[in-house]
Amino acid sequence: MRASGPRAASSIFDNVRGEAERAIQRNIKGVEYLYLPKPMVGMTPKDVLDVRGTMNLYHYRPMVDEVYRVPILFVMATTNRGYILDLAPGQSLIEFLLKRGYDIYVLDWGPPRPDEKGLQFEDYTLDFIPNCVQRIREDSGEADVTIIGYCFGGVLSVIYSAIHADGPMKNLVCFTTPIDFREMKLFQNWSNEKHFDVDRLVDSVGNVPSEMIFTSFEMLRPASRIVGQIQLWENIWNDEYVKSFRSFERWAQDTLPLAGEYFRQTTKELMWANRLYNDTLVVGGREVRISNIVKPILHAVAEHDHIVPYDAAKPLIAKVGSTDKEEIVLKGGHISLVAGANAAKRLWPKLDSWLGVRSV
Amino acid sequence: LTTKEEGDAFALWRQMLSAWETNVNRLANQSMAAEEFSRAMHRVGGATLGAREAFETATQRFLAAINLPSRQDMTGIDERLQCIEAQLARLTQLVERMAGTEGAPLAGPTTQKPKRTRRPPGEEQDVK
Repeated sequence: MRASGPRAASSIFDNVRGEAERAIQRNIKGVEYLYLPKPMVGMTPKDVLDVRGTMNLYHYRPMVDEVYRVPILFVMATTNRGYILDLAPGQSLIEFLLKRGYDIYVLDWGPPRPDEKGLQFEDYTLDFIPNCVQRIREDSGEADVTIIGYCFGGVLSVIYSAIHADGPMKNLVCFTTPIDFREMKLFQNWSNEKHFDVDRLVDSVGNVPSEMIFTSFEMLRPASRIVGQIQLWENIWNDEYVKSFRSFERWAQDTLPLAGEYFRQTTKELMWANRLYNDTLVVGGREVRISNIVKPILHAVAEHDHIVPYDAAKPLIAKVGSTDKEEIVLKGGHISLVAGANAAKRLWPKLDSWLGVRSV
Repeated sequence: LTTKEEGDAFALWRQMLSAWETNVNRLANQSMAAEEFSRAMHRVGGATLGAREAFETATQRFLAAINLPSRQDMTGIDERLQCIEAQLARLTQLVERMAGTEGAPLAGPTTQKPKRTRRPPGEEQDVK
């Protein structure tokens, strides 16, 4: 007990000294921060397999001599860039899977061109995705393909899978995929049919600007941006923290515009009429029933997802017709589910073990 | 004994910051979930859109008066260029097919394909 006094004093002294050193580092690194170039992202070697307007199909170069038979196609969310899956060496889900022996293709989206304002669900699920699947089959020489969809990429993958129930898809993996749009409470209110004139907006702007999409995401957690900046200042002495922060920040701000008709369809068919959940969605004259999906399916959802709340994602596994189906609820949020240190500990190994036995 | 707080002088500050963030987000979410918020948001949005439309019309008239192409004209040219690009891509594919190199990536070197015989770790051991 007697020793605790001097020990505590010494500990406080060490802390004060540590904080003083950090304060100096903050000032030095804070100035450096202003002149840092944009962080390098998406650096894992890849080849461009196909480009068509907003659509980009990449094939990542294998990192091992022997890969699993079934190639994987990632379908990225239409609102964001695909490099969240490949932020930096050691922080890349793509790199992780390549090293574990998977053959990876990514369907990534660019900003839709003005002449692509008429793109609809039909274009994404009856043209882009099926064509990419076919291109992968030709490139890999394999008949089967596993599809992994992230967020709205998951919605498009679900629609594709429901329509092409007997198609070449062998497995379906969804990350935080909304099905019951009534449960996306804030988005529901913001797109309230009584007040939101989606026709006027789309007819006026053509493609919905990225600033609008970015602002709607930011509004979900208005205080988090300020807190993020304070935390950055606090940790600016830590190069690893700064590197990771800047990569995530760059990605979050790199929001994509949405094709006008696609936005109109999402608002009317999904947000207002909740047709995907109600099994009343019709795409290109074909009924979209989630129960038509009978292939093995894994749905990974985040416990603290502020964009797609659990209640919005929950019905997927309940509604599919598959017998081999699994839902995993992991700690984290919408983005930390797939990228960052926690994803590397939680989702990535689980995904590897689930896919491995189903990729032979 | 050294407590966690003593080991980290900023622990209290971080806790306060985290609590502030949670509370502000919760309160903002509550306000934004009200129908009145939606009404007000779209009223402002509608007015902005109206101003934008009026400005666009005026700009188009002005550009026409001074004999310069409008954004719509440029978009039309862009569309035609995209069509030409797409046709070129189709022709390239056709030439590749004729040359027997179909399936090669559009950019980057062609890498040697790995064997597709990998088994999951558990099964691999069983086979051995």
